[in-house]
Amino acid sequence: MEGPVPGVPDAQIRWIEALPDPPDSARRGPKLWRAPGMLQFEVPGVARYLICGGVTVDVAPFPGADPGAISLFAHQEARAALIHQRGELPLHACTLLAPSGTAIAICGHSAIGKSTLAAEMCRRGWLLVADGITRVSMSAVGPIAWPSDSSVKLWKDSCKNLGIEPAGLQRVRQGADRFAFACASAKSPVPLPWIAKFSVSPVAGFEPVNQPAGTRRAVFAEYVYKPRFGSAASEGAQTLAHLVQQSRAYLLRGARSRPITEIAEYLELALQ
Amino acid sequence: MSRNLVLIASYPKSGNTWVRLVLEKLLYGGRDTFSINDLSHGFQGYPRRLMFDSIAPADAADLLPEELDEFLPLVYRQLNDEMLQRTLTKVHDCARRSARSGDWILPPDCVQSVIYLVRHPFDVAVSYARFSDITVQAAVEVMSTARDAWPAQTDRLSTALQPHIGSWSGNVRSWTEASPYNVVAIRYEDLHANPQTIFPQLIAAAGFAFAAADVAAAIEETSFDRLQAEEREHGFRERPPGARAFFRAGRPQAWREEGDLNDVLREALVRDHREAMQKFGYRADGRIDPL
Repeated sequence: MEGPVPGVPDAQIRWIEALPDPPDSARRGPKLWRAPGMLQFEVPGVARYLICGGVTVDVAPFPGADPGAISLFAHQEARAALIHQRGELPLHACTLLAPSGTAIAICGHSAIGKSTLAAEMCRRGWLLVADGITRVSMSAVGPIAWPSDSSVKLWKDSCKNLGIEPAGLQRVRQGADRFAFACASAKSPVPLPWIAKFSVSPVAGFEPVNQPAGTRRAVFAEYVYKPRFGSAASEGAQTLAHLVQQSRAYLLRGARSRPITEIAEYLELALQ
Repeated sequence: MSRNLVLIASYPKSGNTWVRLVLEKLLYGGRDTFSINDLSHGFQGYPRRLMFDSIAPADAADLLPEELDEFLPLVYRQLNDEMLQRTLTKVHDCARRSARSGDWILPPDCVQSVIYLVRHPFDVAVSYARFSDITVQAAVEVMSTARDAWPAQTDRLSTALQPHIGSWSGNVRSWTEASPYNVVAIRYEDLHANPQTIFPQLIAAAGFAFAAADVAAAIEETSFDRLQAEEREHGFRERPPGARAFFRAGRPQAWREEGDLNDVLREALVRDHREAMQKFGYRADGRIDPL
């Protein structure tokens, strides 16, 4: 697991023996400490993670911890902290690249079905850019999304719904029936001209968010991943503002209500 | 430290939503008409997952049950610290401790009071069956499970954070016997029969103060007929997919009219929950003694 951080290639993950408790003054929440340029958190029984300067993730595993679990939190929460520290945006979104060459970030909270939809799209020839948390930064050509994953995390019932046999897949972590499903993936950063909010609705659909930029920003503000990891005047929020201003914003309806194939067809039609 | 959490706790289908409606109308409704779809979720179901994920450094979806349990007391403590006023929290879980840390999941020093609602298990069984679209026999089996918690689902991710409801009597006893909270236990049947008398007592015991006229108006506005009519016309966002209606009967003793709760099932409920039933005056023949 040591080495470059997926999606943040100039940052490094290092294993260390132990991490002490930071001072109480740095406490920002349950098992969470933050000071300028530094963030530390703990997952009981798994590991402590120290993220510094947007470039290093030090991981101190607890004895006997499952390597899959240690890796999971390093690649998600610790990576999100890195992105915050770099003044960029960790977006709670799966990002996909359509065969037409257009990328879309599909935003949603946990359990909404982002990864299931990503798996379905990849089976239709799309490329995976990021599963769950997308690093978004600004560039001269506008917002870009960084590739970080070559598999999506699927629960057993999602595998069943997609007709995927989980027996041969690697478990994400011990103790949970959640598996890594390999997908064809993007290898370099992609422009991100489309962003969608994946929402629960009894009817599937794909429609533009025809609202002023400020309102659109409010629609997507809840998808800044772990805002407590950033400072109050987080640059991540500014990146979100640029993203929403410069991207086409949509509502993708039907999460958890409609068959994933029906939702996939709306996406295919929109980005063909 | 201020205690900002006011818990409305109960086994499912015991009147929790009605009490929340009345209290939220009083707390937030002002003079405006209050819709069932204005009801906050009280940090239950999916909002509890979102609340957890917004406070904890790790997402609930990625944690094993024992890890989640270790975080939950800390998350509720943080929530309490960040609250600016007393907040209603809906709870169907039993009162319990984290197996690993030994801490109460809901820290007692963050809880102002607990309004605990209890309802005759015969009516709960029938109501639960209709709500969940299962047979009454299956509902009785769920209510009688001896496990402390419903089995954790390890093969899927529900939108709701997995509740630990326990058996019917396990839930009742966890809150009303030797719990560390200031518990106001109310029978649904008493509340239904005398809302204008019982609600003011309940509200005062929970630490709130409202004008009598406002309480009376809130009760009137949340009458069962009105709730049913609004659900028919506009739906109710807390009604799960597959459920025919959330506000279904509401009448105590409605089980007698529906016929599905046969002698064998009633005997099973009495056998499994006798002590808790006796404590609350619920007789084996379905009648209810005054307390």
